[in-house]
Amino acid sequence: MRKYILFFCLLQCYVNAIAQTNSDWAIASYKNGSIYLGQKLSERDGLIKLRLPTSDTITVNRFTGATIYDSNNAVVFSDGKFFLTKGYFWSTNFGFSVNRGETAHLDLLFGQHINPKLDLAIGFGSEFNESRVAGFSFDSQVITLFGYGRYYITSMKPRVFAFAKLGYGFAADESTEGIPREHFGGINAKYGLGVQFASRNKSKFQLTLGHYFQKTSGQESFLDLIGNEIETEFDILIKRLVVTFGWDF
Amino acid sequence: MRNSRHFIYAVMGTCLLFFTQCTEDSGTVEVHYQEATAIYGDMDDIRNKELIAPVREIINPGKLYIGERFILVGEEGEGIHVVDNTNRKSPSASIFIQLPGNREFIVEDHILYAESYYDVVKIDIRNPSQPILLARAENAIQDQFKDSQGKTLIGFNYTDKSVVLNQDDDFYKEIVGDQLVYLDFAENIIPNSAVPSSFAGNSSSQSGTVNRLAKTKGHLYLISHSNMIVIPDNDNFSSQSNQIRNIQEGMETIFPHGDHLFVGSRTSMSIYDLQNEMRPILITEFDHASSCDPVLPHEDVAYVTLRTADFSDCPGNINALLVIDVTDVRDARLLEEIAMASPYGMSIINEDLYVGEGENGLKIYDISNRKKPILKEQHDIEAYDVIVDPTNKNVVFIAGPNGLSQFLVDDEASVFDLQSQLSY
Repeated sequence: MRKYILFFCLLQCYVNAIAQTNSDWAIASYKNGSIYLGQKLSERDGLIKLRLPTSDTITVNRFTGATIYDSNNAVVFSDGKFFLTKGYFWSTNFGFSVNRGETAHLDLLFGQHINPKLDLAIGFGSEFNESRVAGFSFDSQVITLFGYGRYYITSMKPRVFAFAKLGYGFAADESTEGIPREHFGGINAKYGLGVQFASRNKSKFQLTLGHYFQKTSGQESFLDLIGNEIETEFDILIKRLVVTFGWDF
Repeated sequence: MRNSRHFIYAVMGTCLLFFTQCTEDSGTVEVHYQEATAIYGDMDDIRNKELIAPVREIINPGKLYIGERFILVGEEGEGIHVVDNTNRKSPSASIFIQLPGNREFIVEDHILYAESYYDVVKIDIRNPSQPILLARAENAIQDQFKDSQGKTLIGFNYTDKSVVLNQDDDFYKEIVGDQLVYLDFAENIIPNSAVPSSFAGNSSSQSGTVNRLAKTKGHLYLISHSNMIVIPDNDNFSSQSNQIRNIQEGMETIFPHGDHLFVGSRTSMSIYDLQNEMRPILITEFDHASSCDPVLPHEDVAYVTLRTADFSDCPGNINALLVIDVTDVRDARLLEEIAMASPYGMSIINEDLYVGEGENGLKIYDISNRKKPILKEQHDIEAYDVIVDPTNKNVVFIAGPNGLSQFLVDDEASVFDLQSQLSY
């Protein structure tokens, strides 16, 4: 049921977005805290003419300290919110499963806005998954290294994107209380859809729903109720729906 | 715009459908376990077996007892070998005492007390080559489990099994089901000792640190996993007057000391008061890390070894010798914790504490100050238990992987001169 609610939330975001349009707006942000938002009328030799919402016209110099967000490096909306489309970014995300046992994912990415439609990044993370197979519960923890790509389907204020990541999860388990266990990692992947919300600063909040995979294998011993040892050798593909929330900055 | 909207709706709907179809973890689990098959027999036939049988080979040695001129070696589940040790350089087996189902025994004042399935027997071994059955307390340990034909459960055959299971199988539901696959008969009366059976022995000539059977104040005490059985040792030695009480979980060893019983479990050392011998009362419990832990009380201290290892009966990562002050038994206090490699049985000989460290050798501590053991000697002898000869403090028996060795030891415990080895 939760996944349907999430689906409709995403749809609602999209419908809101579709109703909005952006035009050639630009933002001039000065180090002293002054911010000017206006429609870009022209640009010559770095001098940008902006018509402010008050209908006044100002000229800002791209090379004298102001940070300019315009169609060259951003998608700017009439209310001053924007997305970056050029440059580098960091992103941190926290995820949890909506349909299977305990799951907690945390990752950190460093990436580049390749163009208004595409971001590419590399990242690492720490992921914990509990999976139940054949009546046994296996806890696995992996450190992941991965490549990541994000394609923006829309360019509205909450913009919808498809994403995918592919990498390797290195087992990071330790024996606990002397119960012997040996875990091996494997391929780590996720793909799905997300929505990112425009803001008036460089930090962007985003929500994603992804289909997650992690291959794991190994040996683990269990003790039954009276302390007898049961040895298992497992080979599992962990699959689940993962909701992630995170920030680009 | 409208077409674009429909396209995105379609993409998202398709993704959602796909997501919901394929989110079950998948894979296989190969499970290795022991399957137990019940063995039933006739207890009357078992009880009527001849006590003395011809000498046989030692195959699966269990408990050990060192007598004045003889050695008793338990044959797990079968009986007890009597070995003539008159000539220390060449001990030789003399008879075999048939006690089916036996694993635990102790000797006190020339009387052998031993369990045999559901019974406890009392055997006079003043002449070890001519033992005489004095009494049998039938069903003293537990009422018999019987099958529909009236036969008695006398044990299990264990078979190693492997099975490959898929995601939707359930090992506990489908393979184990309602069977008590791992439960030994009689609620684990004498489960496999935490010490490997071939090494489990008495740690002194009187009583051991790895025993489940003890005798003190005219009563016999036997611990199971969770029960303590008390049998008064009087002329009427029978199950009529025994007491079975569920007192605590996970009991492993019992050791009498003065008016108290020291009980070692995997997580604690407990002291029971014996003012009323039939009803031991718990007076204090000293918790420690989960481990296999023989207890050896000595005057106002108790030495406890904690042993753990991966893939063992005692999983964990703590190996230590604890020195516990029991001057006030109601307020046991840890005095010292000495790091060890893999401590097994202990024994006190003169002013020295011998600790068998298995394949990590033998350590000898000076305990002239009982509360502060000081490492005195370390020998490269694989030792799982150490037992002193009751008639000669300079003769030490060491249970190793290949048998029981007799050493002549100097007063400083620095020279170990091998006299003989009883191989098994």
